[in-house]
Amino acid sequence: MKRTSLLQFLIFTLVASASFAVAQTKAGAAISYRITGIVVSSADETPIPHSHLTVTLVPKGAEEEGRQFPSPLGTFDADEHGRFSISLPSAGMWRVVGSARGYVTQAYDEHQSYSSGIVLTAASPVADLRFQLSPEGTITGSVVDEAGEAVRNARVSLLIVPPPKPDSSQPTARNRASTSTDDRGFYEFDGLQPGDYRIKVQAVVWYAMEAQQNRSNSESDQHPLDPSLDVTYPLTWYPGTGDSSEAETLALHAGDRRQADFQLAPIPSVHLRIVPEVSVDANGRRIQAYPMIERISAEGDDFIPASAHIGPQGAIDVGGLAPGQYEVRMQGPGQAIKPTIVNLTGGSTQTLDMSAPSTMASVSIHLDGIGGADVNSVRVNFIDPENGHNAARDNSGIYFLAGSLLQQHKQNASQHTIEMPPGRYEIVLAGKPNLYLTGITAQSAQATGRFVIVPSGSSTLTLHIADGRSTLTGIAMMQGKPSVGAMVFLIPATLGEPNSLNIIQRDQTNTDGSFELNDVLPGKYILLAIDHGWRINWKDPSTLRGYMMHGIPVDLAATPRIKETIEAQAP
Amino acid sequence: MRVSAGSTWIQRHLWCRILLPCLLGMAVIAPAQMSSGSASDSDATVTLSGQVLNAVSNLPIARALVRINGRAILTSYNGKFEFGQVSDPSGFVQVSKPGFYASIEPGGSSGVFMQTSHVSTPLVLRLYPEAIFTGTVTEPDGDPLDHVVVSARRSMFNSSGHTWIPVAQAQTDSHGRFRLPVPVGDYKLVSMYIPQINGTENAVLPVTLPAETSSNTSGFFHIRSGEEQQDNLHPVVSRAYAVTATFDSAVERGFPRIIARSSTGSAISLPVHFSRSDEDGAFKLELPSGTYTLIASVRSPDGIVEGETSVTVADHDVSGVVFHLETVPTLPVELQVDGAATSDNPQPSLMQFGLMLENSEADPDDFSFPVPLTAQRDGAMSFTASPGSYHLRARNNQGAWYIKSASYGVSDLLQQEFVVAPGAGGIPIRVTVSNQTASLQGTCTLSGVQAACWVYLIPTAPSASTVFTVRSNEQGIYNYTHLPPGSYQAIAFEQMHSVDYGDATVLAPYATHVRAVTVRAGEKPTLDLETVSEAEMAP
Repeated sequence: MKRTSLLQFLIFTLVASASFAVAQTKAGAAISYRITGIVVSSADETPIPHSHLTVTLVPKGAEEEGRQFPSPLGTFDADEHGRFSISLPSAGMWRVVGSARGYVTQAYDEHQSYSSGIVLTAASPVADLRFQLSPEGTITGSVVDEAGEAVRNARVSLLIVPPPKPDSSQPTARNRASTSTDDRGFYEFDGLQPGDYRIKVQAVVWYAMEAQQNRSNSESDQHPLDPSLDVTYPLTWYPGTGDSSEAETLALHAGDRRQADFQLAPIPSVHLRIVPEVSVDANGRRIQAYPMIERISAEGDDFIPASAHIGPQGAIDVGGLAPGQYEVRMQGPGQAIKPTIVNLTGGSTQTLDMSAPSTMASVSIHLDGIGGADVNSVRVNFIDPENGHNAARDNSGIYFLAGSLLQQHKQNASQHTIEMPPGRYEIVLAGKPNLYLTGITAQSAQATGRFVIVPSGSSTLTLHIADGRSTLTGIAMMQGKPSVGAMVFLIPATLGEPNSLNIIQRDQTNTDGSFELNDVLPGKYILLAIDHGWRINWKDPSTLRGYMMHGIPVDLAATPRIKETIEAQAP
Repeated sequence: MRVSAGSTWIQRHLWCRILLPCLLGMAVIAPAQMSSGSASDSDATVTLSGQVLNAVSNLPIARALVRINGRAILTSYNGKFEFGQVSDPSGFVQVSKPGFYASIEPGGSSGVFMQTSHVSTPLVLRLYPEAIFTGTVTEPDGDPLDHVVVSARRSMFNSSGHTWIPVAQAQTDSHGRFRLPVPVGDYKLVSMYIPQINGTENAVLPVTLPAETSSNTSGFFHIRSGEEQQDNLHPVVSRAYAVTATFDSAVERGFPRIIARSSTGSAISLPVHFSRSDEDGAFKLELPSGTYTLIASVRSPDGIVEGETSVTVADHDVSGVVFHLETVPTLPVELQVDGAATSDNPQPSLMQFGLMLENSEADPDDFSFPVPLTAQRDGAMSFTASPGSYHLRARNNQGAWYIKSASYGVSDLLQQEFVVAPGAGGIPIRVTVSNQTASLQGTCTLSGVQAACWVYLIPTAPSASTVFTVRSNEQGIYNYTHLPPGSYQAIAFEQMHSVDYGDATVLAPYATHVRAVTVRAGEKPTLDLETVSEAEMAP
């Protein structure tokens, strides 16, 4: 059972009582459905007293239809020995989430984003669980400045480094949480599940920020700002590096309390001189455009507080920047936003002439194969494979949900132009679940499989889209018994081919060995199940090939719904 | 925006998703003022030096930022600073450092005005250390409650009356601890409602400290500069039940705000969960057992609708609660002008008076805000006010015009409460303004020396404003050019002093400094005042 995504979870919490309706018991009232068991710590198997279990019925095909989860049936408390017995009104698949003070809230047998549903039937109406919860990990620390004084309101971000994927690729670190330091410079991240983490800090040099203010008279021209005050803190990774590749990965085990302290060191700030494009209003007066500056980094874009000084000719001096890559967007009243990417290096002032020809890629997107209302619901994401970031945003400068481009303009929705830095991107469709990409035709750009390379200047991409994804359900068995909590993989037969449009799909089997893979792109695949497969080290590319040898081929191009029973392999 | 030949500074704080509370020791900066008649020779330069001290401990403050005329420097380990080659040593000297405030008053002066004559003596600049509320939020059994939002609300007085402004907000950590650094002042601490503690069906009820009991007459904590006060909050944790409700009329646009007022008088702002699958517009609230009055208001471009209903939650979920929504009365406001507009005194507009309706019923949880005057689609001005009692208030700086009278039917709104009845509307509020103003001038002296001050004039006759404030110049000369004719009590303070001047007792400690004055239209009498010193103001 795949865990609900964050979005699904949000919807799930927004769903009101209407979906309270619990499936009626069709069989005789004689059958008493129950989930019993004990909640124990994953660290030492000791029972966890007074833990809480929230039980929700998972309707069949819930992820397919509208992706709405019903409201939980309720929350039940375990006794002082961690034991629980929950009476349920019906058969079906139940999702059980456990929580306790000091432990990470988890679904049953949860690994990464997968867990097992508890399936009750008339034939097997009672399930007995040994429900493990991980003691929560905590990372605390302090941020001090070069003089050892507390840095307040420093933004501390915690990133989780996911384990490698089955195709041995390393997914980029995701933001897990962000917080701000208090008046002592302290921060805390609690409720952490075991895993690999990195921490970064972005802070303002308070005195540099204030020293820049109100420098507007002759005295300040005679006395340029003391270089010791014209400084900035670079984005700093634990234990104190500006280079994310040198960041230390904290391997947090269940219940660990780690400390990660930072001492920030100021560096001379880089100045960016922006010469805006000259535009005048109806009365011939110059329209002043203001820059929005965003730092682009491999692990998340950060808006940065910058001070901008507008000179007599309208040129803008932006100070307080650290070396790095930035996106600059200029906007004045009634003007379209023009994004520009600039690389700043330490040392002298760099000039950005906004009237110079843009180096950005201007990509015109055509959607082919769908029409009507579908067009408006499609979002086209341009994912940078280097950092997992979506470069697609439209020129109104608005960042849509998850940073993707929402085709909102009804009048000509099948065609849209967006600006992005030139480069290589993976095209990912979002919005309507059932659509999939069958191919990309490129003009003045290159397309290979789901990947495109867009150059500076104008280019056109035609995305060929088809409707109707497939579903694969089944049972994983091992030595004649259901394989519970097995990892199920659906691997494209075209894996490794550059033109392949299909991707690896995963699920975890439920207590009856069942699995369900929805939203599968039609095509030929190899299906395999691995008992306790989450322990496998995917860093070795030959690992997957070994398992694929024992997988079974399935053709989801010919039939959209397939049911398979497979034998789970030993890990 | 047009750019002048000079240059302009703009500040952009572009933090994503988070709001950075400005905790640095500085307020909005007044533009550096240069004394035009400076006698200094432009070729001669001077050295300007001084020291920054903690105003409470008198100890030097290292690494404080001192600024004058666009130059800036950090103080050394002993709090000292020195600017060499200063060609024009007059202007504002500002000092700041995180954790310190330049003034004990909100919006107070953020600097010291320096004159050429003072250059020879080293400057002493003082910073007030912030105060801090610390404490824990725990369940009745002593278990800490983490991630509970605790907010410090400061008692503030402005032209619209008294408000509790949240100045600091923090979440409790995994041990239930919180820290709220604040400027000196009078505060309430509030912990927020949490409909569900993670993994349980329990709700955490909001708590306000100090508790609203008869024994505590002040109803707030006073915290001094540099002081740490520990206050522990013990919210009631109680199982919450689902309350499913509907509106009796469709709410097309806008999102409802629902406040539950319990029989004990405490109020909770409730998160509203709307169902996406339901066609009937049902929504869900979570409430612990108890009897509540629920007040829903929905603001949309078409106006405000409100509904009230009551519900009793008795250890089980409740459904079928219906809100009967009614449009909140819209009360038009008409302007009548008494006097002629002239070229240098153009026709007034209603907007310039900053009119608002202040709810006269005490709301301990501050879910009510003054009702501002708003423009309708047709351009007419009106108040949209729920039934209740109000006072009509106006901003104290009204330019060349003043509010001479305001009436609603036969009620004189400058003297009487304004009662909005359900279904009211149609009858306009008539506001008469006049430009037949008076003037007042004078000097402030502090210990016999003319010095800068803040002057407060409190009308003793009916008025839409409770106080008229002006700041003197650096020589202590103050000047009111447009003042409603009438009688006033006048007082001068060394620092800004924002209190409820509608309350006669606030002037009692300074009775020897208070002067009575009556001004008539077209006259400009002189009134000299003895300033209440900062020491007497007792932070």
